[in-house]
Amino acid sequence: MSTTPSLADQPSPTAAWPRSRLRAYIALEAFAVALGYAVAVLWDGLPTTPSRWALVAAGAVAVAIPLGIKSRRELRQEAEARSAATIAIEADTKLRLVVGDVVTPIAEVVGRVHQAADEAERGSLRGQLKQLIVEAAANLCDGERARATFFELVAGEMRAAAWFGRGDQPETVFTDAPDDRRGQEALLLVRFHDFLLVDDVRAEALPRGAEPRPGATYRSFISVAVFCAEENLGMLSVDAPEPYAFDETDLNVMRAMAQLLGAGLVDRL
Amino acid sequence: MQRGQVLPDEARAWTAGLVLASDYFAWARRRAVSKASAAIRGRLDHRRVRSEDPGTSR
Repeated sequence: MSTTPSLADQPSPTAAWPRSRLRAYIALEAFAVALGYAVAVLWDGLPTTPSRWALVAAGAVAVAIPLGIKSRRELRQEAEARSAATIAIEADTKLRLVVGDVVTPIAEVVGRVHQAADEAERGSLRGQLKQLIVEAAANLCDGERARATFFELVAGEMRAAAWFGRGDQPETVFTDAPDDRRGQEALLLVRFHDFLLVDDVRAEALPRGAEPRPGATYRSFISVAVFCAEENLGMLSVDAPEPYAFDETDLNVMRAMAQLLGAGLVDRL
Repeated sequence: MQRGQVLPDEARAWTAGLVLASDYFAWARRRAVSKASAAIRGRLDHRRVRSEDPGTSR
């Protein structure tokens, strides 16, 4: 990592953009127009009466208005181009992070899981894989202070096997018990290989069982089934205390992470 | 021409648990922003040159 400059040395996408010369051109144009107007006015000598001064002032305003309108339009166009470039840079950054810095190294770990010499090594690599997946999910999804959790399905129940992100440890256990409506819904989501994205748990009409438990610290979440072929392995979730923290891109990141995890956790036949 | 590792040492260090996820992602994000900025600027410059060249623009 020593080859990469420190954070302080790295320009932000917008700051790194070459400083535009547009303002300098506009100032130069305004100066040239003002000079031309002054020369034209002074050609016959200074105005001598108030009415001539008023005429000169009116002429100056008439010259300045189109120049001002043009420069405002040009500056607005430049600002729009800059913000489009910033958005493009953000999108490209995320693509590089997901594909190059996350999926590629995690896929290598998945391969090593299936090459493990014995169960102990395989179990260790799988533990590592679960942790890598939640670290990646929490870091890649856009939510401020996001938390990612993998709820592993064991003997019909799901409990947190790995988590990463904001402080509080997830304690929910999803069961099929008759009084555990949330557990039943979560298990159904896994059984049907579904996902669920909720923008705001307080504002939306949620399916029964998808509402958060009392005292929950999140407003938005994504939950995705983790499976491989017909084998159900659990549920990968990311949540955030802000509403509308996640979008379609985050959902696709979560789907990819869940499938990578499923590929690493499934037993070879 | 470009040649390099499929898995950079930094990524190997993260998957092996030798560096914290926060350190790895901070490094990866800085590098991705830097490369993305260069790529987008390059594409925009390329497009600008093409549109200013009467021989290639329609």
